[in-house]
Amino acid sequence: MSSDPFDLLGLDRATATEADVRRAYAERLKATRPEDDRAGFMALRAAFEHARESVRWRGQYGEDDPYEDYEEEDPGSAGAAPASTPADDGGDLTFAADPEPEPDYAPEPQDTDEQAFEARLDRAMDRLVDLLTATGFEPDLKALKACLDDDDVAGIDEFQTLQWRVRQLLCDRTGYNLEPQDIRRPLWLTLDLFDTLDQHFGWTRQPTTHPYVRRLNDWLDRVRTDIAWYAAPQEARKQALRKDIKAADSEERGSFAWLGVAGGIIGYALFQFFTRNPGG
Amino acid sequence: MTEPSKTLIGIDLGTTNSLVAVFTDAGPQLIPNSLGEMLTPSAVGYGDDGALLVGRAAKDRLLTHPQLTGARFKRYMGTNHEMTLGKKAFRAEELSSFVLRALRADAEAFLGQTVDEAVISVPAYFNDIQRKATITAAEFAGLKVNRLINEPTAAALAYGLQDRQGESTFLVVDLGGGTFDVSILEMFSGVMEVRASAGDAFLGGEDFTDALALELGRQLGIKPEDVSREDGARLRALADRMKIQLTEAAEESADFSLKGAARRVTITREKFDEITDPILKRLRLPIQRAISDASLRADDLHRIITVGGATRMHAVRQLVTRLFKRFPEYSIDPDHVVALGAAVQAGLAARHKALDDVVMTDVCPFTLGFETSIQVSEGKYEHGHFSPMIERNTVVPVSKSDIVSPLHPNQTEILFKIFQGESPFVKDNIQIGTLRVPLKAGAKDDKSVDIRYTYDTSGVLEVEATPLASKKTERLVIEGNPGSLPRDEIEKRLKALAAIKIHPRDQQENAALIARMRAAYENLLGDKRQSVGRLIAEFEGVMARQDPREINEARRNIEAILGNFERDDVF
Repeated sequence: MSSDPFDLLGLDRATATEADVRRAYAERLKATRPEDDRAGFMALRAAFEHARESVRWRGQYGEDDPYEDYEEEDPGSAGAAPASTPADDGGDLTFAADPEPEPDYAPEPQDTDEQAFEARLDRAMDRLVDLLTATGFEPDLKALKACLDDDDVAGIDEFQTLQWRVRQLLCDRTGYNLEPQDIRRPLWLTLDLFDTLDQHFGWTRQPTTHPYVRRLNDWLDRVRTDIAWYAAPQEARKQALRKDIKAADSEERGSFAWLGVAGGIIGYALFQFFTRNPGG
Repeated sequence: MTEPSKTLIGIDLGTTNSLVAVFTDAGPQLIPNSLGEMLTPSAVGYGDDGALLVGRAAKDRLLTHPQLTGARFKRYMGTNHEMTLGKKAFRAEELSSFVLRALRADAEAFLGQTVDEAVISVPAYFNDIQRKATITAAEFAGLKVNRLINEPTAAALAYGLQDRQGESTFLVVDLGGGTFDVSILEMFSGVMEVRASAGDAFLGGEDFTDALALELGRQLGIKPEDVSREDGARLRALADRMKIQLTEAAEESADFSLKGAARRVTITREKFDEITDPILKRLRLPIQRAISDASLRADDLHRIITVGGATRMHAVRQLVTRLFKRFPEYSIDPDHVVALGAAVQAGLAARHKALDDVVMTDVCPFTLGFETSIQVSEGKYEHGHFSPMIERNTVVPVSKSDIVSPLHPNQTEILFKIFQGESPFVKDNIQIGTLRVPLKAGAKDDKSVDIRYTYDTSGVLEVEATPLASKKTERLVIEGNPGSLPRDEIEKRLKALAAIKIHPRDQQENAALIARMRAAYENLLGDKRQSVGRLIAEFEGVMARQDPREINEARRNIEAILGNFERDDVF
């Protein structure tokens, strides 16, 4: 089997376009159907994906692609990965190769459409910020929901962009961009408010494959835990802390107990040793 | 090449209704059941003679004999929940197998040959346990599963066939009776490729019916837990009918007979939209996620297709229209399209020559991985982390491997816990199995294990682990996993099922008519009720004489009379 994706597709690396790659893949796919020839299909699929990334990269940056030393990605080539590889790594390569890594990318709409779109979102953001800050720290959730459900931002693109912007705002205000990161709790960010936004945008419940977005969402999850802690009644917090400290204490005592047992055994052994072998 | 005599069928095994279709020279074609209908309700129950009834007859008997009848069991696929019919408890696999058996008999009668292999559609968001349960159900029905096909993908196949050489990207929104799926597909040069799938396995039209039944109960001053099973079943049936009528009318009212008196209930479309708003909101997130996974904007989608009976609801159409700023398409009947697509896949599998320029590739909708521990400091580990092996939306079939080492050098085995889900912590994901791999005891041996995940085109996972030292491969064994049946249990149940008597297919029509008359009898009041009572006695008399011609004639007459009664709003 050839190790070069372009060879496998019968294409010239220097001149092939994305349309060529797709056409070549489609042709070969009809002779290598996934249900009949599993291994053949997987090799063809890998070649197709790599070739497509390559031509996209070239189209974007006009230079040689980073997949020049393409190797077949299969058995064991990853080497001995310990059982502790963090989940996010490894996705970065495809992420970086993506033409535009942000979720709200797209072919450019016409200027006037784009302006109208931006204007609608700016309006919605202004309304949101007004609501978050102008209500004397007691957010008007009903008005907030109405604002999120407004016709201006009902479309899927508007929804996506709005959720992106609101998340950036929340992350920034809660200390995501601080060096080092440190959770901040703005006064207006109550638990109810956070949950209303989270329920609408689904940050902590709809996981994503984009590593960057995942980091943002994980951050928000941490922020929520933090707000929830301070929103809990004094007594509940006291109880939780007490339980936590007690658990640590019994763990400690547990290990002391073991030390005691071990000491006892050693002492007994020494005792036996000395009583059986009276010196000399 | 397959022999020409072998025919594969495509089956849509739905929460509410099931269908069967076949691929012919003229394209995919639906197969009618013994009542001449395309939709066979996914309902099963014992008849008066102790034989099992499937379909319309069973659905009607839900009203009169709720203790002997079961429906909506697809929701329990892949769980240990059992439904009790009469004295016997059944698993969802077993109840589904009766529906599959009936569909198979319909196909055999239609095609004039035996059928033992099928393509069966499942919700894209069905997990591994639910998929394996579907395969078990087919085995109980004597059917070999050639392949499971995701429902939105099947729908896309049915639509894509209309314009197979075109280039387009489309979104399929599939809201069935019990499940919700969203898929984004791309088509080019006859290749149909799924780019992203998302969904909710417990969200469907039945939830809208439940919400409406609750509201009707409120108007009548009754709570679902306070009424008899019969009254509850009738109220739910009324809610279901009014829900369907609300797709046409802005307001509906009906009489519900409660303790011998007719009570009026009314529902407007506004009120219906208000009570179902929380359910509707849950539809938006999977759509958003699929779009974001595929990195698309609304403008990039050439077509928006709605599939599944529940997408007929006004509020659902409106939501899709608002999101994408255009009206969704539904040129193929939303109840039929999945079965038609399953038949196309059956045609593809059987190498039908009309399809030799079409190939379809699908993705796995979930991330699959295993539990790992992360070292936080010297000698200290944090457990419960999820390490992905196959990322969501990877094209299947796919096979990936990784080398894993044990935490401690003296370990004598590794216990792999296989999970599915998107959370970085296994506690938020679904465990689909465990794999115990023994290691060589010597401290100097290489303790690394090569672990390989293979995901086939049906969306079923196989996991293998090979210790580098011994080279002895272990395969995934489901160890006491909740919701799945072990092999020996499957064999045992298969034997038990063979002993159950099933109502003969050629008498289904009569059984269905009797069930329908009984349901009407329950629903009607006064004179009409008495006339239906007379009809039942009359028909039983005709049946006793066993003259097929006379029976057919009586059946036609009674159907006409019943049709008139049922048009009245008394329910």
